[in-house]
Amino acid sequence: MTNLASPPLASVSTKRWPPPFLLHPSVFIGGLLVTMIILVAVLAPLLGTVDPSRIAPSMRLKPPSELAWFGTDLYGRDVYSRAIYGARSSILIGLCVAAAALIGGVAIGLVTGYFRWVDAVVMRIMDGLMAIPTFLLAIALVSLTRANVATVIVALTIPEIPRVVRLVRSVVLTVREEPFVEAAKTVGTSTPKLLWRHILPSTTAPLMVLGTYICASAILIEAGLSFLGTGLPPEIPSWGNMISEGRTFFQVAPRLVFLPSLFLALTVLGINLLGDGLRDTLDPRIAKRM
Amino acid sequence: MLAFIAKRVLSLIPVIVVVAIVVFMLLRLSPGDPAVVIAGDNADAAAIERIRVSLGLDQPLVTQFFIWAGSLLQGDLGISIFSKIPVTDLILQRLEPTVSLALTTLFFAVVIAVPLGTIAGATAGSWLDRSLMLVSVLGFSIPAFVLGYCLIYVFSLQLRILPVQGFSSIRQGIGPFLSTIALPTMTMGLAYLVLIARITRASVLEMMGEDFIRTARAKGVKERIVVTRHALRNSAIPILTVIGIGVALLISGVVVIETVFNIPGVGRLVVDAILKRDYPVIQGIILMFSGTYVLINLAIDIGYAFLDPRVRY
Repeated sequence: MTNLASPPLASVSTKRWPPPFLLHPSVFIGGLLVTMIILVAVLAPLLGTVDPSRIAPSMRLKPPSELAWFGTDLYGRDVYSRAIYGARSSILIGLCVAAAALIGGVAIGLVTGYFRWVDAVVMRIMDGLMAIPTFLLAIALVSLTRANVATVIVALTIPEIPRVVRLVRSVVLTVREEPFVEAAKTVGTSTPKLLWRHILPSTTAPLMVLGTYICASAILIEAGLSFLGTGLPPEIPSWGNMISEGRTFFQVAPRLVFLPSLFLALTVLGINLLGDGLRDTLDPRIAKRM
Repeated sequence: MLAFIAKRVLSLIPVIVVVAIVVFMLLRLSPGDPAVVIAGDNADAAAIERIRVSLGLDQPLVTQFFIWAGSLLQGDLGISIFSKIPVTDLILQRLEPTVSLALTTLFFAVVIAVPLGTIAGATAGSWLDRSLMLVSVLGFSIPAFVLGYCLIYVFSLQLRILPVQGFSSIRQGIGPFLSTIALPTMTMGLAYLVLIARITRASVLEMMGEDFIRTARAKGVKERIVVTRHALRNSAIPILTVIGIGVALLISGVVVIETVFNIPGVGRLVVDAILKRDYPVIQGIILMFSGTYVLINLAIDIGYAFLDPRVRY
């Protein structure tokens, strides 16, 4: 209480940069990794790559050289370029699945949490879907159609929706009883507006965290599906496809498996760190809901 | 107690019905006419029609569902399109490697995770605790098949102490069994291990702040006993819960790991069925895995009630 000189008003402004949560080590390292992978995906043509699908029969299974930094695969394609372009499939699928699962889950969750009569039916359906292990449901859904980027996204989204619905519903059930919702109802706010303006904002912090986990899980499952030969078609460069093709030559050329694996693990690690960090900094109560 | 068990069992019925509907729709939504697929490439129109009638495919969808569900209740999962062997028999033939792998993984994960998580929780902030948290993020991020290849590279290709692939039944001797199942177990166990260790740590840590721990310490109970008898025992419920939920991890695990290590189990069977679009086999295996998952979690729920009388609300 000796220093009474108050700091200038500008510095106590609520908009501090960088915001404190960015300095949390998990958020920082995770965010850095994710930013780097997104940059790699976007800037793929500028990163010293060649056409990832160009087949060169004379260059089959060549060791690393100045021409091909990580050697070539069974068809003489450049392993480095394929791994770089593979970031595009993974990031695209991770983001789309997270967005689609959040949008679908929020819509269902808001309605079921708020209207008691839908609740019983929808939650039984969600319980049933959750009883089928995620990976198995995804692989079965993919088997229904010819796999391409769109069908893989749909097949990965459906098993994730129940998790979002449960989370949104649990938030809605608590918020519904809050005085400010009562107040809004009393002044005659319409139900859609009530859900959208007063109840939805309470779900954003936990949803951001869940979104990162879904994104990580989608990338892992897509890689798993492609690894088993049921995911993206082989002409699309993806890490799962590369590992799947490389495993036959694992004993002679382990780099065919290790390079895409490294990219895959670093990407998922980055997203998971970001999620853990956001969970710890945004709101300590989130951990209990997950 | 009986009322509690009855309530839990009854609450499963809607879940099982939904699973059955989803699995049933899977075959109906599949591209093409199942009768054409089952009849094969050389069948004429009359043969296809015969199969359609014999399978009840000419009936309305709801009737079909009840016929299918009825045979399901009698343990009939249908017949494989390709091998023409009943799906139940196919699964039974492949069950041993998968069950062996699931049990060794469960044992491996629990035996390491619970002590590790307990020590980390009791000494929160120590180097052991910090490294466990670091390893746990890594454990969630490394895909099982990637870890599998790393382990094969180190133990089989470099050190040459374990076989690369394959499975040897326990009936052919404990030595070959352990050497073939060691790497798949470690591969599949890591994610399960860190999951259990994390929850154990969190709940032991929470218990360590409770009044009864302070009381025990004040009575002069040794710290080791405080941690194991008081903190760990009261954490039994969250730990058991996560072991049950983690069975889903094991199920996804066997599907991938059996391919990596070339193990002839149910996981490999479902992958082959999906590659060949053998829908009755896919349906049967999904039902079996989901049923196992639901029943294990039911058993754990009922187990609580025996462990802790407060659960019977």
